[in-house]
Amino acid sequence: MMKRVPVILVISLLLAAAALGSLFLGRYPVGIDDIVNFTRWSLGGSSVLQEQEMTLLRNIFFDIRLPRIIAAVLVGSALSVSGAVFQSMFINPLVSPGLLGVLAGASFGAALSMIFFKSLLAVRVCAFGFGCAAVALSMTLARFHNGDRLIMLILGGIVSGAFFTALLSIVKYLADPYDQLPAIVFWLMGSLSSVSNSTISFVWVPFLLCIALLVALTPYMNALSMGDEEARSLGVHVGMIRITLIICATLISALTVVMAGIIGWVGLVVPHITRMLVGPDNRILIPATAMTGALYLLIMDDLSRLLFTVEIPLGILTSLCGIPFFVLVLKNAKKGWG
Amino acid sequence: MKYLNHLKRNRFQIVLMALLLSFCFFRENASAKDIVDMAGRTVTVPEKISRIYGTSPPATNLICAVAPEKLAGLNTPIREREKKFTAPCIMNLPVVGGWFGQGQTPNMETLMAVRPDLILVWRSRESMKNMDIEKTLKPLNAPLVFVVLDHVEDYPALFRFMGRLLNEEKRAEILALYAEKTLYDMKAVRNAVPDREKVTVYYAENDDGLSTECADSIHAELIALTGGVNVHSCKAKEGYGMDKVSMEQVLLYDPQVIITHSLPFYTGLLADRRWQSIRAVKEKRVYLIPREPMNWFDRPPSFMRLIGARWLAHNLYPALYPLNVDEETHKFYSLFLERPLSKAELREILTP
Amino acid sequence: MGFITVDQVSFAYNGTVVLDRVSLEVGKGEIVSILGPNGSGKTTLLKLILGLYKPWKGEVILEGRSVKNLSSRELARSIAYVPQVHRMAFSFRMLDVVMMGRIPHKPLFFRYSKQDENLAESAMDRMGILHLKERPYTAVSGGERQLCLIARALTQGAHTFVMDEPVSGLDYGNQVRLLSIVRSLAQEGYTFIQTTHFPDHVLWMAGRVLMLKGGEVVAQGPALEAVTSTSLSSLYHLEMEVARTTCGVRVCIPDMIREKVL
Repeated sequence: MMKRVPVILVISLLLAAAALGSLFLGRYPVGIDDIVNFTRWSLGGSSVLQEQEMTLLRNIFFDIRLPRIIAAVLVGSALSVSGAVFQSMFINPLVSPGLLGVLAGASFGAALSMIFFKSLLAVRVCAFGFGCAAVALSMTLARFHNGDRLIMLILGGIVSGAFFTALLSIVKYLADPYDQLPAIVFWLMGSLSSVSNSTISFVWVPFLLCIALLVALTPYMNALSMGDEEARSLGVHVGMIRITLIICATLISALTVVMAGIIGWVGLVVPHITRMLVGPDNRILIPATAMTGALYLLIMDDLSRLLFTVEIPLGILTSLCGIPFFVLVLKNAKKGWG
Repeated sequence: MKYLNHLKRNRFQIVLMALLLSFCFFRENASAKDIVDMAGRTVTVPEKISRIYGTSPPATNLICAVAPEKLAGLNTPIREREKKFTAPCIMNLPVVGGWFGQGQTPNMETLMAVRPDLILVWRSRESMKNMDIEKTLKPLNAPLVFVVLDHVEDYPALFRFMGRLLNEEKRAEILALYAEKTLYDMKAVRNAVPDREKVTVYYAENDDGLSTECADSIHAELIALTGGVNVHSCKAKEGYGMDKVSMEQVLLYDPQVIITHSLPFYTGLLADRRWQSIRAVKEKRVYLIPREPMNWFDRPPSFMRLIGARWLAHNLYPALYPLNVDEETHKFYSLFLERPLSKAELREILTP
Repeated sequence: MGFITVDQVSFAYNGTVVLDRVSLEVGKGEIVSILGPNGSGKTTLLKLILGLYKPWKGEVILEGRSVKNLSSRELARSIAYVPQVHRMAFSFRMLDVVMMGRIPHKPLFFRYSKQDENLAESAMDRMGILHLKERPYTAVSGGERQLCLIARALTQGAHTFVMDEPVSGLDYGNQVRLLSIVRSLAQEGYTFIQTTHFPDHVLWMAGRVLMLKGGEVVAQGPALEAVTSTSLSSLYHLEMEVARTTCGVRVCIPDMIREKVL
């Protein structure tokens, strides 16, 4: 843990490198001379002959690759940050962002809209709306019984998640098996392929605001992870802070579903990996895990679109590749930073 | 003494029984026939068939084309857009379910209540699935007839087979002839275009347009049939298809024509910057596949592919295959669906 | 009116009465021990004093002001909670745990300053654990963890420490060391309210004692006077005697020891 600051530096450098590198990687072959020509052309015109090719290159870089890279960074950091926040809040390293039902609700919302409405915008709005509704349901259910707040929330989350999962099954059953059902199934597997600049322009502001708020609240997260009573005795407004944390984490999780469908594993394991690297102090963990998550998902998305002609669904890749990744870090962490 | 009388009475009853049974037996035999179905199985079917159930939409659609009044049950509830074209006799049929993708199975009790005389099974290429279906349907004691529906080329033989089976030979012959003419025309188009000049086509599926089918997949077979070339050349896996491709992959393919059955994708294409560099979009050769009441191209595969093939060939090679689309559509719907179309309805079907 | 007054406080939980009209007066710099068997309501009383629960009847008054009128931050600046040593799911640095004591003094959005760090370090130094500041909390012994929590309470700037069975989980040596720290801090003016299971410790600390049984006050007063054979026997349903050794120290002797010896 003495290496805390250098580790963050290393991660951020890796992230920057990966982002830049991803810009130049893709199915469509772009050579060095293309890049040189493009830069020359965008700085001050060139002959009309090249116009078409340059437009194509601009298309590739700024309309296809760049939004995807930005989306991978946003989704990866959002998922791992919300995972870390929940783990800290529930004093349990085994929870994931879907704990309070946001992923189940968002899945249902998306599937429902694919049956009734026909636009991509509707899918996104419904996914977001029902994701938040599911968490609201968990929190309401938690109020029904005067027990340990955390346990009641978890129970509420289980009930809400189960409820929306059941509703999702109903929707799948009613869906037209020839075009609606496959669309739903694919969407649920998670993918960044349909992200465009307009999607990003809607979500990046709430994303950054929520993450900034979460980072600002990290000292309270530390106090909360010592238990409600101890935190209150330290003057922390436990109820208010907890609700704020839940709202922010839920918002960014719901937004990831809007952009990319359901992507699992990242919210559960990346915080672990980061914790092994930088320690559990949320003041460092949250920013670090944001970057680790971004880096991880960026690499996964690159693999998804580059490995084969056919895109491998992102949700599948994150789980498959995450396992050896996790084992590797587990081995090294035990050795060094005990 | 009593025992002897008992025996005498029994004997009488036995003879009576034997007479009755042989009567039934002969009766049974007199109204049944043996046929060889398209999977090579010999099946005994009743002479008069009035209630048929098809195990999946392609089989059910086939029955609707040849003899809709004999259909006994539906696979899925009738969708809104299909209601206009559904024959009144079918409207209130019970929904039995069927075998089509995602592990669906029919509701056995509803099926039994429907009491089919015959069950038409779309033969799957997986023999395990066929055995499964046979096993599940055994308790119904209804004859199972397998049909092979994979390729459009099978359609003439298919219609004729159905005609013989259902004693609707005259109608079936008309349909078979139309299918043969279509195939003949398509062959002519294919032969008229040298391989190098064949039009490249991208079949965009799903609302984001980034799913497609391999070139040799039966889902996209109309492309090759009509003399086009499917840009996504790969070995098709069995079953669902819907390979995911990335935007850049499509850019690399740079198809001359894009066809899709997704309305959101079609309407959103103009505003989407990512697709602008593709030839098909630049030259405005993007076509929305008509889908009322059933998709003309695929999903589910049905005899609509006959008009679909003509429509596609005309869009790919308008000079080589001139077609009055309105007229042909009207003719097709009148023939196959027994539903002549008004001008307004034509517009509805053909315009996105 | 004492420094801290518990005035006829009653509390019920899930329909069961846990405390019934309990009163207590605590003076500044006093060590008050709350003695009683399990389920007597000791911990509940502590939590009421800390403001974590609200009494059904009666009130808790701190320096003339009712606790229910104080915000949790104001309360935290005056009264510090030193819980029982526990296992933590996440192992923060010892220094970070101590620095949390500065939270009641910071605005809503804050970062710890150098001053906060200095205050925390001097508290740790006072407790003799400064050399452990970089260690993870889970990698030190129980006694050291307890000292860490006391250092946190010091950093809070509170004048009153409320401790829940502070010696539980400590070995004998650490128990004694902890009690001597409590005594020396009390001499500096800090007030202590602690629950305990050990009558002997009550006698050692020689402060005041409150004996609770079934939510009711059984005895109250200066420890050396109130802790008697009678009061202890009725509290624990044991036959025991409080005797004086030859060097003048009071000890508790349960009868069962006598039987063995004789």
